[in-house]
Amino acid sequence: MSTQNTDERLISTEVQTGENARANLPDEPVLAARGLDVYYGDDRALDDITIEIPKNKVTAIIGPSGCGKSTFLRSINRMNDQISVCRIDGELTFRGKNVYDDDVDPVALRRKIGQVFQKPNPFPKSIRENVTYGLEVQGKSATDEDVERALRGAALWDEVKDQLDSSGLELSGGQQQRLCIARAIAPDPEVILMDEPTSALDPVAASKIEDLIDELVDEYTVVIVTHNMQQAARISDKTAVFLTGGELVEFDDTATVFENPADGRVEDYITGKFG
Amino acid sequence: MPRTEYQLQLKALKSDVLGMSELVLERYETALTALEDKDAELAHDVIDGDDEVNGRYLSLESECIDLLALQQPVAGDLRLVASSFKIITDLERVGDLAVNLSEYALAAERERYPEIDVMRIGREAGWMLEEAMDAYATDDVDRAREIAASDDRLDELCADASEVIVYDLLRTDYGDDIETVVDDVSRLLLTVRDLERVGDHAVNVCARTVYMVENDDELIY
Amino acid sequence: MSTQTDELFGDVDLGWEHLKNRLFLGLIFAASMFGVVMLALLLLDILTDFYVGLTEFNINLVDFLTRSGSRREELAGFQGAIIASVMLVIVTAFLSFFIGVGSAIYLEEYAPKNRLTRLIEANLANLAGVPSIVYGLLALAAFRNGIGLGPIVLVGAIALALLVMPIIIVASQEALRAVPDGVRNGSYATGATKWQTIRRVVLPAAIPGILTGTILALARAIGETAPLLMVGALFVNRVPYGPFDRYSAMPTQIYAWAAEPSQHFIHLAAVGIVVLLTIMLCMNGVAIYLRNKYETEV
Repeated sequence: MSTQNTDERLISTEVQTGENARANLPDEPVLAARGLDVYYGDDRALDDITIEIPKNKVTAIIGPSGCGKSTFLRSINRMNDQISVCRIDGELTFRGKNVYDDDVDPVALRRKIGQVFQKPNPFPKSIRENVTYGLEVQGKSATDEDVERALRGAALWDEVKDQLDSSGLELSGGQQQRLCIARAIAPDPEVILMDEPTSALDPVAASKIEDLIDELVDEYTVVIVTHNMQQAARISDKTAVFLTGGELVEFDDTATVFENPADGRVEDYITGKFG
Repeated sequence: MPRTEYQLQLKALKSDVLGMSELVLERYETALTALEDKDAELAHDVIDGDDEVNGRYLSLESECIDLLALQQPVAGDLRLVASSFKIITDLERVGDLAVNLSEYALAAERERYPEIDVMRIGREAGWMLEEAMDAYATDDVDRAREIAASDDRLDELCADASEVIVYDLLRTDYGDDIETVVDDVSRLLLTVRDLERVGDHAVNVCARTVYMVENDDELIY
Repeated sequence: MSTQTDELFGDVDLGWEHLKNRLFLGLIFAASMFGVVMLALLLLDILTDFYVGLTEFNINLVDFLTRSGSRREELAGFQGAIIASVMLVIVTAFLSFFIGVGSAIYLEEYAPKNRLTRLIEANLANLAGVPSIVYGLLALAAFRNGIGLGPIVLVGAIALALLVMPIIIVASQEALRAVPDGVRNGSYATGATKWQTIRRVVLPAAIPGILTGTILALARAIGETAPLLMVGALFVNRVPYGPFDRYSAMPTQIYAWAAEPSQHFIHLAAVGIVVLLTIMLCMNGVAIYLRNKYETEV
């Protein structure tokens, strides 16, 4: 059985789907790594990673526990800087500029690259203050329109528009995570990093966030680490497979990775023979 | 409704299967016309166009595989994908049968047995396939069962026609004409058989539609 | 029925296990009650003297609270002492709060987690347990004798501030530690600097805990006698004019009265103790109220 390349499709497709539309766009890299090694003390967490992550597409990073997926994500927005024993070799660029150059301020970097964490972590403040935080720390004042725009972008506006001054912690888990997404997109970044954003949520809430990611990718580039392979298959345009030892084993269109991976180890991993 | 992208992909699949059926039915109609009017140009159109039908089949097969691998459909959705997978095979076969009919149209030299209305059989079979695809489009299981039941009528027509042809061959003495007569007769028998097959494929479509909607495999075989 | 039970669950006699359970429960209950009983006896003693003071010696509570101290027992009141204590607490708070909370922020958020930091933290924990009289001696040596300041409120406050600062630091550190790291990470990831994170997110979330710890520390300070005695807060019978005036705070006033031979003065002391305990109870109550109110957040 062979799969056709998308540009050879002879399908009539009167029904246009987002993923099909995105698949037809060429890959324009916005983040790139070249020979990236990351060490925690003497332990090597990432081994010679070379990858180009395309703009306005969803890139999923999958792999077994401890394979370095989260380490890679944290290296992109330099959250790894907070770990004193962490050491970087090689290059990681954002729009062509190495983010580890001396003249790059990690705080400025994180205003362009937002992050959503596994466990929802809204501030113990009102919903409005959570959303405006990103703009206020940049010294900009946030208007009501900014708040509405961010909450709409996170598919949360309709649910909370009458309670913007109540505490963010009173929301349900799924709503809190969407609030964290609103907080991340309010300062209008270019890239959104997501570290297993739905693994702490129930399936319905997780599904809402998956739908949301499909909308977010129109405006932002999304990089999502997930240990749920089916989720990666459902929502991503490109998939990177890391295996134990911090090695990037395969990076390709999601359909190729899940239907016909090039590396036998990837086939074994996704069919559940190990990992 | 959640999973909008996935819902759209399911809709797209059904729409694309119907698109392929329209293509195949159009080829089939053209082949029948070529047979009736002995139109060589139309016949060549069908024969050359078989690549497009096969290409469409491969694309649709790829669409089904993608849905299975990437979206993990279950229950009704899974039956939709599985049924569509089988139905496109039947459609591709009908495309091949249309090519056969066109080849018969090219080879035939004269009209034989005007009392056997081949066109009527052809139109009956084509109508069955069209109605079967309609039932698939609208999830109409009652209609699907009706169409499947009408296959008996088609089989009868075909059996009668074949009988008439063979009887005539046995009873008449054609003398030196016998070789061309045998050629024509075998081609005619093949035509009737191929038209019956079109009906059988329509029944398959109905069977898969019933399975898709009600998880009932009674009509399959 | 019992054979069926034996079949299902095995032939086991759990009676002895359950008895041990009950015995242990009884023992620890008694241990808890010991403290309560002792406290109750103490309170009973005080309240009896209080009652006797009010009835037999006709100590008028209103007069007691509005008159300053005096050599004459019928005229002696607590007002001077109350105001002196309040003044002390305010100055102590001012001296200890900012330095204490600042130290806690440094130790918890900025200091690298190395041996030096651990050494500092260990020392602080020890200082919290040093007998209060030592702080009194320190203040006496450095500020009374060293700089030459008199037995004024400021010096007493310094002594008390030295006493409560380690407590405030430790309590503030706990409050800061209780703010989950996830919230800090969320702030950094949204593009905030470390100071912005502390000022806008961590500190506001930790304030209830910090305040609770501070109020509890000050509630303890208000009752400390030894350091105040060391720096000379005894023989004043009027309301102090300001931090640079002489004074006699509540605990020292009680001490002075209790040392008198006259029974009247001793019962005045008892009344004073009740007033002091009531104030301490109120302060503790405020602290607990604050803690409960904000505990459910974060």
